[in-house]
Amino acid sequence: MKAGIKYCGGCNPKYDRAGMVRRLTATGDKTYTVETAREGKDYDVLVVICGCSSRCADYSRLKHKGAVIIIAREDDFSAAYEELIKKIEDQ
Amino acid sequence: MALMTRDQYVESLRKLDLKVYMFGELVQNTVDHPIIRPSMNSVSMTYAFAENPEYEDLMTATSNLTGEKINRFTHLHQSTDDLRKKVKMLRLLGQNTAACFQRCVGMDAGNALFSTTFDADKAYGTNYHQNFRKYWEFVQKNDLTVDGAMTDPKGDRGLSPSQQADKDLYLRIVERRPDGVVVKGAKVHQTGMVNSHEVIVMPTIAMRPEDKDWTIAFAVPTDTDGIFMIYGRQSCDTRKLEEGADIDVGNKNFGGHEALVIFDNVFVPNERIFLNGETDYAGELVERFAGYHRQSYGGCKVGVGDVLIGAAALAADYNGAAKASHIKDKLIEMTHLNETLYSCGIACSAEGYPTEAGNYQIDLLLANVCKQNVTRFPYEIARLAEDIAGGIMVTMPSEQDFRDPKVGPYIEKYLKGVATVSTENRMRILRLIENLTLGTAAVGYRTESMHGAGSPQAQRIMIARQGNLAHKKELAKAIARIDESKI
Repeated sequence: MKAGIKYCGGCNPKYDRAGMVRRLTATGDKTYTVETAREGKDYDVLVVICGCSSRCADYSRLKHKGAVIIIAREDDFSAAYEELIKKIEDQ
Repeated sequence: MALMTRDQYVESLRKLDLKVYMFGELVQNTVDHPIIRPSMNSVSMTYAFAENPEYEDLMTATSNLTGEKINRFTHLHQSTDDLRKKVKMLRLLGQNTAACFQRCVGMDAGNALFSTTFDADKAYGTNYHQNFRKYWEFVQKNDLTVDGAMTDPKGDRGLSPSQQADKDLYLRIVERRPDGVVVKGAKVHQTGMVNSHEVIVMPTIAMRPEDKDWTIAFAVPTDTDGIFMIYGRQSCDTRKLEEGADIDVGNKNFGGHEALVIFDNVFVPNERIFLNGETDYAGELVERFAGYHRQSYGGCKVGVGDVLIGAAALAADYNGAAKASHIKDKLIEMTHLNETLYSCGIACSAEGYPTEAGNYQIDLLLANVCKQNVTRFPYEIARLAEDIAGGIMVTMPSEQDFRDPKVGPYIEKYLKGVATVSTENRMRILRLIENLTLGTAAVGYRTESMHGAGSPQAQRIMIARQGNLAHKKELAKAIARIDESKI
């Protein structure tokens, strides 16, 4: 399964957004791969990394199979990871 | 090529044949000149960040002209969301350069011209809007950096352009040809001109009917025959020329610049002309450009302010004063002021509206309130930063002395703050504060905050015009139950 990472623009990050992606990648049990989301590619899950609560990242032009996980703070990691695993199991 | 890489940008500048004078000499290599290079590095960040997935959401947009992905600095705003993202992008770049990155002025000129040319064509049946669309498509496709040149020298401020003793004190048309015009004059304090591929020239004030020859808007390459630049001095600028002054410069990698730009009989072809004698549209162009640029300051200055607040907080840490209640309160005050500026930038964007041409304009009243606050708050933030830093910020010895085997150990010993922080790191943060508050970067953070995008009185005039005082009077009358029909 392929997870696409979409970052917000990063003007007010309250946590290390790239570090969050590294954690997701490192924690993965090899049932999914993580890459920077690109237009024109289709992703099983889209993980949107927002630096703050305004969650202004625009992912409207990215293709995905209906599964979008939004992370907006450090504490979102566990829930996001569990959701990601659940999406994998569902698919 | 809708997006240039940073390296491509740097190489593209090397291909320009710019005429730049500094300290009485023609600069042979502007790209690698130690005084100019930091300012070029700042512009290059607008390219580098557009390539980076962590920032591209702010740094790029989809062109309404070509449908392609473009750098947001060449974007014609298509929504209030675009306007907000512009402010956020500017804050991001201010945070990562602690300097003026120069590219917003071209973006603001482009957006102002897009709508003003549309309105002028509608009134006069001219072809400026098509000229401009074609030109801007060229800018977007090649991801160019564009200087926006508005401010004329202005001579006697009490006289209009045509009344000046020296008619060149406002840039003007000196010859009209079938294929274009020849212009003569100058533009002062041109931010980023030396790092730009193109320059857009606009009138600087609303014009009267007798000022037709001064009502000219156009674009030409920055290395066009007849254009030359005289580089502006900045406080402490020659520290960049010194060997072993890595600490002393405060911000080694980034900076900004301004130049006096001379247009000595420059030919402008017809297809690059966007306004030519339509005096009643000069005011609209100036007002729209200034509106966008006053919005811009609610982003870029805030980003630089973020760095200054961080530097002040670090200085307090290194001085061992971080727990003092008055220090904490000063940092809160600095944050409050900085976020107020940001709030204004976001507010004038959120309240933006579509022009007839289709791009989005900011709310003029709120943009002017934004800039009016910018003429004040960075000064107070800088004052508080100097307060927290302490006098050593301006009295400490040079890096050369710090490295000197004889006197260096004394500096190491006696400029130590808390024991766990190196003296060098303490010196570095103090020099950064010096750079931002009274060194090279103070040009951008302080005086540009005062006069850039229009001096304080220009905003007050706009606030008076846009303030809707009549409505406020009616509100008061209603609440007070006043009936003015009764004498």
